[in-house]
Amino acid sequence: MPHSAPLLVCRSLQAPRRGASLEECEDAVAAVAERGRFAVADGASESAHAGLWARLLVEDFTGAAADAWTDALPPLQRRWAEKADPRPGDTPLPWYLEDRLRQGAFATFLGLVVDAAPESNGTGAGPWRWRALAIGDSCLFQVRARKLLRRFPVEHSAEFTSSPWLVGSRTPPQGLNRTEGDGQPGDRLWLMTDALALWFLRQVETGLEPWLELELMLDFSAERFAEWVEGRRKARELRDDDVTLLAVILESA
Amino acid sequence: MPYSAEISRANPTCFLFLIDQSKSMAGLLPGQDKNKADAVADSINRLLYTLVLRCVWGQQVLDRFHVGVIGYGRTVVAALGGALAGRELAPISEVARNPLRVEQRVQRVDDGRGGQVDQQVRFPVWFEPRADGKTPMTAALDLAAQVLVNFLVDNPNCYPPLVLNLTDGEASDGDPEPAAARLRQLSSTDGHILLFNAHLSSKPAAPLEFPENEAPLADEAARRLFRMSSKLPPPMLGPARQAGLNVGPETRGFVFNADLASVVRFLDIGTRVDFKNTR
Repeated sequence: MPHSAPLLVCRSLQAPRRGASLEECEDAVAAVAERGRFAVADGASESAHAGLWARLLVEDFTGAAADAWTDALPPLQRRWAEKADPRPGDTPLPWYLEDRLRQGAFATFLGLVVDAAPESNGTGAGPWRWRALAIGDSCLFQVRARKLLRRFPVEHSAEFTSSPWLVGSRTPPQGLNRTEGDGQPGDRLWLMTDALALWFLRQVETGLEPWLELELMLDFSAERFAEWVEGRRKARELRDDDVTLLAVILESA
Repeated sequence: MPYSAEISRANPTCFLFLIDQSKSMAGLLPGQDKNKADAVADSINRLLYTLVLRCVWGQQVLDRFHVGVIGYGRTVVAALGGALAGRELAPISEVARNPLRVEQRVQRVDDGRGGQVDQQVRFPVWFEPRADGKTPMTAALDLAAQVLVNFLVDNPNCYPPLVLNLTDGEASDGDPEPAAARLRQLSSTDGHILLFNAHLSSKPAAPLEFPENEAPLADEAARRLFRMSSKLPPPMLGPARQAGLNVGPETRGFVFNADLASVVRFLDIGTRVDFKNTR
C-alpha cells in the first residue's frame, strides 16, 4: 500500500512463498512516512508464531518515539507471549506446542529512520540524514543517480548464510549492526527481506542495475508484483520464500 | 544448484537413522559411565524432539520431514515404538503425537548470570536402547535403500534425504561398501541422498570429526566407514564452519570415536537444512 508525506514517499510490496496466502506470509513491513520510520522483518518459519513476532517488531519500531530500540524489546516480548498463547494458565497443551512456545519466535529485522539533516532549511526537501539498524540479513540499499551507493548489512551475495543473526521473542538479539548515511533529493532507499536482497546483489555482481527493474514495480499492483516474483522464481533467479520490498523515495522539491 | 530445494509440506524431505543394536553396544563409551546403546538412544530421541519442534507452526505440526529409525542387531527392523511400531518412515506430525512416553529429566542450563542451574525438561522417548545379536549393517543399508526408493518416487524433487548410520564396529554380513554405494546413488532432482556415518569405538583412540581423508583413522573398520560416507555438500559447509568445525570440499560426513556430545553435534550438522527457508 502507498504511504506518503510531503517529499518522503514510500511504497511497499509483498508476495508470499508458493502455495501460501499473504495472511500466511511471515515477512512484515511497516512505514510511517510522516515520521520517517520504516521497517521490514522476516519471521523464521521454524519458530512459533514468527509472523506475529515480525509484525510486532515492525509496528513497534515505526510507532516508537525514541531510538532506544533494544529497551523496547522486553515489553514487546511480553506482548508476543500474550498474543501467541492467549489460553488461561491451566489449560494443557500437547508437549510440542508448549515447548515450542517456550522457545519463542525468531526474526531478522531492519529498521530505518530518516530525518531532516541539520543543514536542511526546513522545507522538507532535504538533505536528510538516515540511521539504520539490522539484525540478520534483511537489507537496505541506497541508490543515488543510478549508482548503488550503500549496501547494509550484507554487502555481497556470498555472505548470505542459512543461519543469520535473529532477534527472538524470548531471548536478546544475537547481534546488531548499525549504520548511518545522508540522503539527497532523488535518492532511493530500498529495504527488502533476504530472498529479494540475494537476487538484488547477484544482479549487481553480474554488472546489472536491478534497481531499474524495481523502480518499474513501484506502480505495480500486489497481484502484478506476485506475478513478477513468480517469473523470477521460474527463471531460478529468486528463491521460493516470502518476499518484501519497501521503497523509500526522497523526492526533490 | 543441488541441495537447495525448499523443504515444505508439499515437498518434504526425510531423515533415516540406522542404529547398530548389536551386543557390543552394551559396552561403555570410552571414559564414560554410560553404555553406547543408551547414549545413542538418548541422542536419537533428542534429535527427534528437535525435528518435531522445528515443524511446529502455530497450533499445527507441518509434515516437512518424514523420519524413520531402522535398528540392526538380532534382526533388521523398523525401531520406533508404540503406535509407530513397524513403520519404516512416518510423517513428523505422527511422530509428534506418538512418543512411547514423555519423561521429565534434569538438564543443566545457563542461568543468565554466568552460572548454571538444574532445570526440569521434557524428554519424549520414541526409541528404546537395545544391544543384542550381530551387526547386519549391509542388510540395514539395503533396507534403507528400499525405503528411500519409495520415498523418492513420491517426492522426486525433494531436498535429498539424509541417512545417518551409527555403529560401533564392523558389519557381520559381508562388505557393506557396495550397499553404501548403491544407497548413495539414489537421488532426487536436487542431488544424491546423503549417507553419514558415526563410529563409536570402544578403544580409547582420539576422536576425529568430519575428516578429509582416511589416513589418520586407526583401524580398517573406521576407514571403511569413512569411504562409505558422502562428502558434505557445499551448502552444508557454511553451517558446519559456523558450528566451529574445520571443513573443506573433501570433508566427509563421518565422525570417529565420537562422545555423546559430538554425536549430537554430528546429527545436528547433518540435519541442518536451511533454517529460515524450511516451510
